[in-house]
Amino acid sequence: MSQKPYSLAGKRHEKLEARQKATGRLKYTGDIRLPDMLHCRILRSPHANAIVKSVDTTEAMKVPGVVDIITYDDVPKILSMHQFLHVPEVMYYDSYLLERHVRHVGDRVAAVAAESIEAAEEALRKVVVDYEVLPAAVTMEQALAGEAPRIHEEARRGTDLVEIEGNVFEKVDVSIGDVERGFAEADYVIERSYNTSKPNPAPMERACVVCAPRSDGRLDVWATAQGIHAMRMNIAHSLGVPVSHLNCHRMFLGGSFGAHIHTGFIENICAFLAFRTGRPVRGEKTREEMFLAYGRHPMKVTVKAGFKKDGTMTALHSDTTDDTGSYAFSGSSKMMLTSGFTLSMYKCPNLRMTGRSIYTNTPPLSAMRGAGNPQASWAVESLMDEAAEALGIDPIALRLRNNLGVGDTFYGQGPKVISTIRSCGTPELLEKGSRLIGWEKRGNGYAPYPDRPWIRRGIGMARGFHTSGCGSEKPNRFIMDFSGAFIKMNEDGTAQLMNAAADCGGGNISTYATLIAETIGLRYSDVIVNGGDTDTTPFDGVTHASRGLYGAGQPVVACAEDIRQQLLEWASRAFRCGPEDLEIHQGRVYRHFKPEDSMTVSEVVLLGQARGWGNIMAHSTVRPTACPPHFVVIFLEVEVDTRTGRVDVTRAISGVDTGTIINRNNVEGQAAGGLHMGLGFGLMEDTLFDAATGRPLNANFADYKMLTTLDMPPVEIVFADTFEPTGPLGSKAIGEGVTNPVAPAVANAIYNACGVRIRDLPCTPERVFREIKKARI
Amino acid sequence: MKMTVTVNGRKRTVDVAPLARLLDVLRDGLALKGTKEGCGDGECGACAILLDGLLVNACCVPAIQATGRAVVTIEGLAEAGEGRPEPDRLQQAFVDEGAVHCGFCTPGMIMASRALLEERPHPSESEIRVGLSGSLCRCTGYGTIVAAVAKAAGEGYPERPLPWKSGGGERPLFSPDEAERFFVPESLDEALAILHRHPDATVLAGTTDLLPDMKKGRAAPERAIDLLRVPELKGIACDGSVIRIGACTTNGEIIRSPLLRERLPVLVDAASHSGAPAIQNRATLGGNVANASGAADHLVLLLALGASVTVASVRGERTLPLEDFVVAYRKTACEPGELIREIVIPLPPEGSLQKWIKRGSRQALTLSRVSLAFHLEREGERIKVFRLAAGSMSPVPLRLTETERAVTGRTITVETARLAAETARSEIHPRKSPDYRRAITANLVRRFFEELI
Ligand SMILES: Cc1cc2nc3c(=O)[nH]c(=O)nc-3n(C[C@H](O)[C@H](O)[C@H](O)COP(=O)(O)OP(=O)(O)OC[C@H]3O[C@@H](n4cnc5c(N)ncnc54)[C@H](O)[C@@H]3O)c2cc1C
Ligand code: FES
Ligand code: FES
Repeated sequence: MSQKPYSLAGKRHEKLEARQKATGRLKYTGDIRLPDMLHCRILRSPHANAIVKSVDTTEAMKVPGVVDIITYDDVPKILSMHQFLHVPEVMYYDSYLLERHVRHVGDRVAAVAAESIEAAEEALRKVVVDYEVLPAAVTMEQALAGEAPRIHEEARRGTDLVEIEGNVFEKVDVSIGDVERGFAEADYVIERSYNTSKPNPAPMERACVVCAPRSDGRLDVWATAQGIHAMRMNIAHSLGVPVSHLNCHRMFLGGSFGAHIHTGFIENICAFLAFRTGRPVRGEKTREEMFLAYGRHPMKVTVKAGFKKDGTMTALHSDTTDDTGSYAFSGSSKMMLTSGFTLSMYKCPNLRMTGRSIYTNTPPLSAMRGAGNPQASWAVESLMDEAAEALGIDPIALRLRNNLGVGDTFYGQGPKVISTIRSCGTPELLEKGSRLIGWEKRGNGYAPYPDRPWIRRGIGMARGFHTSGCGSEKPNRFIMDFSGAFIKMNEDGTAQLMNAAADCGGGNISTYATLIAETIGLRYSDVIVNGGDTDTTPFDGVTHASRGLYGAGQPVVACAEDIRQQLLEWASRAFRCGPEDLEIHQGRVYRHFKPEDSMTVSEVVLLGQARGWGNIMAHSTVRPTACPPHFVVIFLEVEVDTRTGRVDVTRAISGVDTGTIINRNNVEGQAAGGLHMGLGFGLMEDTLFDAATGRPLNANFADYKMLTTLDMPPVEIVFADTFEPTGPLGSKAIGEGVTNPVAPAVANAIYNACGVRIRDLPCTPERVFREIKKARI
Repeated sequence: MKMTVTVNGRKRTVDVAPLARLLDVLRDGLALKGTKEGCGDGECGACAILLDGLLVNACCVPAIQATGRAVVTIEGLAEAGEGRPEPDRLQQAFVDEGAVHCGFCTPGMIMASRALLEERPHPSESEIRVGLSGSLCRCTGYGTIVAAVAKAAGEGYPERPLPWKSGGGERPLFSPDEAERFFVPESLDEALAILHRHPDATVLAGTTDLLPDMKKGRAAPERAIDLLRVPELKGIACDGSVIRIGACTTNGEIIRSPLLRERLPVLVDAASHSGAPAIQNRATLGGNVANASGAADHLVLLLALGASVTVASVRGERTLPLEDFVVAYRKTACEPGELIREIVIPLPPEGSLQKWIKRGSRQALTLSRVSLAFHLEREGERIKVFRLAAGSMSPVPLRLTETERAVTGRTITVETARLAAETARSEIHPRKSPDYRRAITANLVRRFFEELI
């Protein structure tokens, strides 16, 4: 179905706050300073696995300016969770604010509150800790070895104690159809293992929190959070206070990409210190600390797939080992998602997913852009190219033959979140993208420069998707997904939205303004979106799973529609006609057949006020009943220097099926930015730890590399002409799909360029070079 | 200390520690929160500002050196512009092109763009990309940012050059305790006399190594001497058969030097591939040499060029070949009381060839994984003089003398290329990733000769 003619949707709109950002006036969390404010710093373990036998704070307390120091002995003995995405029964509780058993280098031993950062740091140096150092399991192999140290004694899933066997804390085995029969029916069976790395979300803004006691005994919290209601639940739970004792404020985020999908401990610790000291407490992570609590789960994914000679897939079995680090920030969900997404990659009657999640003595990981999908895509999209070659079928043809499209079942967040696909732009994007890149003409090991025959050029592609939120036809027992909104009309004809969905930079807050203006018939500039806090907004799921527009936008549209009806009803009283005879356009109400009869929306509101008709306001809460996949197709051209292994990406095409485009600026930015992060995953980004000590080896921007302007190719973006019937104005998501298939497109292009298949991420020059040597090209 | 600094055209005086980062002075001392901190290591450009008209990262500038100078921050751009209400044309171009996502990189990006457009009013796309190569953005993939800069340039931005390119020249006012520990000499004699009295003092040049080290807790100078106000340590001059470069000459000055572009372009090449513009405007040649690190780019090149180092103290000056000056990792032949005064580079003879190759994990802002510098003189068909230096393979850069000897006197053939490559391969002993580094070193050496055949 084609995009509908809208008056605002589909155009470019300046973000509501863009000028404030461009002039440096927008206040981010880190810019808040309050009178009498204390600064918090955390004492972190130098050992990967150790028992804190004693902590002596005597000398540290003497440092001038030090107000409070807390250790394990002081914190509430409440096992805590980190996210608030999942239904309580599947949530993991495995940490305290500060630990007696520290489980990774950088784990939390004590926290200081002082008048200045310098005093706090001086105090940290004076705290004396006696550790009993234990053997550590830094790598997956070490954690799974027979005599591996036990990383957790106690963890709960909901109210149940989790059985942790050899550091494996959850296993899954789900079948759909009969894979054994599927493999028996196949003419060709392929099985390969692929490994992924551990990139960091690395938002430019570092995590920050300011907690300030209020005169009513409650606490105001400003923090970098992807969900203020979720954060409030977490902090309240870990401190053992009622949620209403906290008022968490929505802040614009300087990026997130999964870094702020959970509380990363400083939020709870600063809240605790603020209650204890009765003073505002600020904590901000250093860039090094940003590497001690976030990152994409590294996984080993083994995929076995069976095909008929003509390419029809008969069976697919994926087996996943997932390293969550030392705390299960997202429970076992990343493993469930990676496995689950392999089920939705292609149309296949016989599917099986097996997997396990393990603890290691490394920093806890979380969802990072794509939440399990980049790992699944890396495996399956690499395998599809390997299978295509073996079958003698063009890689695009093989994908089209097994395309999962309209009417097919889609598993949005593992096997429990089920929805039916109602829009799919993949075939269109494959067609457009292959034409643009010149797919038909791609060679094999093509050497474009006669004077430099060692440079080989290749073209590769991959297709992928991500979910739009976590809605399923029936409420599922896995993940929460609903949103709320209030809208009221002001006397000057402006509409004011109160909701809680975080804007991580993607621009969803501005998108709500477009939805409201479009639905009511206002100008874009007539909409105001409140800062918002948990006191004045209804609960909203976290801005994750690419749900910022698709999920949180649904109650916004519902409210706007309600407001439109109310305005028309009031105007109809003024015009003495039926509401159906009226329409609202650009902030004015017109009569259909007498356009000279019109009044402004402001006049309608003022009239109602003068007559005592009351307020024009609406509220809505919506649980989405679908999670439509937004499909993405990536085409890349690379040049491989076979003498050094360096890979330059020379062309990049991102084809996106996002349904109705609401704000073109935002979707283009997401597509190009997603490609940037995907190339980082494919080519260079990885956090490294010393396998013996667990010390981070590149926890800073000098050693952790992402692509600069000079590494990043220009991105050609194409959109599919689709309309998603379940989405706000026909839209679906974009934020994560645009990253998911990029890395396998890199590997597939490298293969086309020089015939080496990279199965372990990232495709660094060293790794590519090693494979080239092995293949002796 | 009391620091007076001209910020966005206004004189401001604040009380700060001498080695406080300018970034903190701006954000906390002057409540100008538009300048952001992403890393504190000079690696992200979120804190970029203009200092005396040049792009620098405020996290790598100590207050003592910013005193008396002119700072322009994101908040000042509109005021510096055409007198229109905020935002200015460049800022609006970022807004219009959708280049503002989370916005956290935006102030730094805009300052880098302004600096670029001051110098190059009509940049090409690749010049824009180079100009912004030290500014990381995690959201946009850079395309819209590049487009915004091109748009502003197309609109004739900036209509007027930046008005605030120099400050009032004020000196820091130290407390009595600080006055015993921090010094801002204004002549070489004064600097040497202070260093003589306080041989333990740390000298401050561009501080691109020092400030990140302090943040990491690897350095905590008790005493410090600012060298940037010493005129004798600046400057690039051709003196008979040598080029003399003052120790405090920055990479930016090297890149902009017409003399070097003509007579020693290889040094310009190395300088422009070291760090990114905001770092180049601070990083000095002397600092790079003083660091004596295996990954210091200029050291490698200077070895191949046969450079020497002149050090000075109250006792006088002495000049040493670079090989003798760099003693070990992070250790130089500088005696207590001595500092590097200048680097002396023999002018390469007519017809000779110099080449510098660096391979890192990415194109900009990358420390070398392998760097090689070549100097070659021919006599007829034969190689008369060949010098080859390698970096990042060892604690300090090395001359590959066996390789040099192996090819000297030979003609340049495929066989020579192979011999050079194989000798180089066996001559280096990198600790990390040895096989890879050996192999690509060999390949790069081979390529150097093959390209000459
Ligand atoms: C983001 C970033 C990227 C970088 N990229 C590169 C790169 O690509 N290649 C590279 O080689 N380096 C790079 N560096 C390192 C650094 O910029 C260079 O080594 C630079 O040349 C150091 O000079 P400086 O003036 O900043 O030194 P400073 O930090 O001021 O000084 C460094 C050391 O040298 C001493 N010193 C300085 N001047 C003298 C003197 N005249 N006499 C005696 N001792 C002196 C100081 O006391 C100090 O111990 C990078 C740094 C950063 C932050
Ligand atoms: S904060 Fe990153 S360069 Fe200064
Ligand atoms: S806009 Fe977010 S980092 Fe650039």
